[in-house]
Amino acid sequence: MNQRLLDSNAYFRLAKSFHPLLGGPYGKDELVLKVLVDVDTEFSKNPRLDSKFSWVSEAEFTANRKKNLFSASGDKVDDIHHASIFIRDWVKEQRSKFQSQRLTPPSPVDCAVLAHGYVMGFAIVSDDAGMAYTAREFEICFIGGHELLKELLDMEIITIQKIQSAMEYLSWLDDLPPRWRREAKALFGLSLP
Amino acid sequence: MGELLTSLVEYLPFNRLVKPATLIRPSTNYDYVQDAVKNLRVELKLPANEVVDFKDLIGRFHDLQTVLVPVMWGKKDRHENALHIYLPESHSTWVFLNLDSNLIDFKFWMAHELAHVYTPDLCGTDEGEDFADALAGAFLFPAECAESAYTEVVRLRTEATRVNAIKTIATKAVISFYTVYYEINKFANHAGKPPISLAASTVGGAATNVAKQFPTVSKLLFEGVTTKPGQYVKAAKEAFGTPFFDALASHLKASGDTATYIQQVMDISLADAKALHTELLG
Repeated sequence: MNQRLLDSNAYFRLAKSFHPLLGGPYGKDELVLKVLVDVDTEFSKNPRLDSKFSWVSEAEFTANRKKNLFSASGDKVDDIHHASIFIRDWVKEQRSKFQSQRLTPPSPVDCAVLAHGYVMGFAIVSDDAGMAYTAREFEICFIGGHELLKELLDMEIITIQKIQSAMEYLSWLDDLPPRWRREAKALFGLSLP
Repeated sequence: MGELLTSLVEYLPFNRLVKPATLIRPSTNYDYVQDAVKNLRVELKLPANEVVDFKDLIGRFHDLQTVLVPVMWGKKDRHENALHIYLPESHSTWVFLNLDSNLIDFKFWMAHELAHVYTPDLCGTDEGEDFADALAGAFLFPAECAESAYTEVVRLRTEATRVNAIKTIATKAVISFYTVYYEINKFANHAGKPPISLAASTVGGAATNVAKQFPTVSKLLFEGVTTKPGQYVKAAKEAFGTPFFDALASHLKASGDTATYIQQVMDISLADAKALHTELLG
């Protein structure tokens, strides 16, 4: 099976438009989409603001996450724990480098996601430039949310129409990552406003 | 959290060339605490018997160059309702206050955190916590009030009537049953009088009953369980005079930091962080 682990923001960006997002295996590559318990914990905090992002704590989304949590076992648990600490320390040391490049340093939960990629070899799905920079430094397999959509499109799990409306929705939310906008034409043949 | 707050310091509207006032040799000695409270009440123009509103303390925090950060962390255990962070390099102080606390707890924690601001050298020590508890209790229910309450309660014969009397006093003063009970006994101890002795379970039950009569501060401010991001920021600025959100907006614009930064610096849900990010950059 081919695991893809989504970070909090990638989940946030895709889950509403492609519900139920998490699950699998999909296609001949047996693609499986999961999140970490730590990521789910971030969403289990009840939103206190009435906003267009509040859907994330609704029952149907919570249920889909709960069914698709990745949990390591055996020796890997310790390895992931140590990798997580190591990545977190590195991020802390490099804070000024992140700032000078106008990148947001990965949060402790983001570091745990990256540590899973580092130890288990999973591809991490994220659109965060700070995450991308860290993943490059640690040679962790990393793809953007739009690249995941391309994989799902090629497997005929989702349609181009759905991708188009998701992009329009994200554009309206002002949450369309610059890379999506730049690469939409090449990946999907779509032009965005 | 402290490290992340450093990025906001340059956007604060405080004079960074002067250090805010601090207390000299703070102590939990009864007379010392009462003197400190008397001075504080004089500065705030609050007579000893006047009920304190949390709004009375806001100006003092500002004078002490402290950034109040009103947050909505939901229902928390007592000690998680307020958080004090002192950044020695910038001499900046940040006080996070949970608006989802009951009004009477909220006032206690505000006074407790004010004590921390006055005693940066005791930051992170048990001594500092003891002093903050002592100052908060005495500020909300000074010796004059404790003496008059003691006189009223000590003449009552049964535990039930004593509990009821303390409950009435606490409700009228809009403070916790615990605060009234402990301040009465601190006064008695200092004056060499016999304490008012109540069973621990009775005190706990009575304290809960008094607290239940008062709403959370978020409910007072927003009249509902949730609120729009814009209303929250506006209310936080107006009710607490905090420069936090303006500093945060300036930092986000200058740095390009995402909602993840807000989530970490305020310890809130990612959904709320995204909502605030949109609000502040909009």
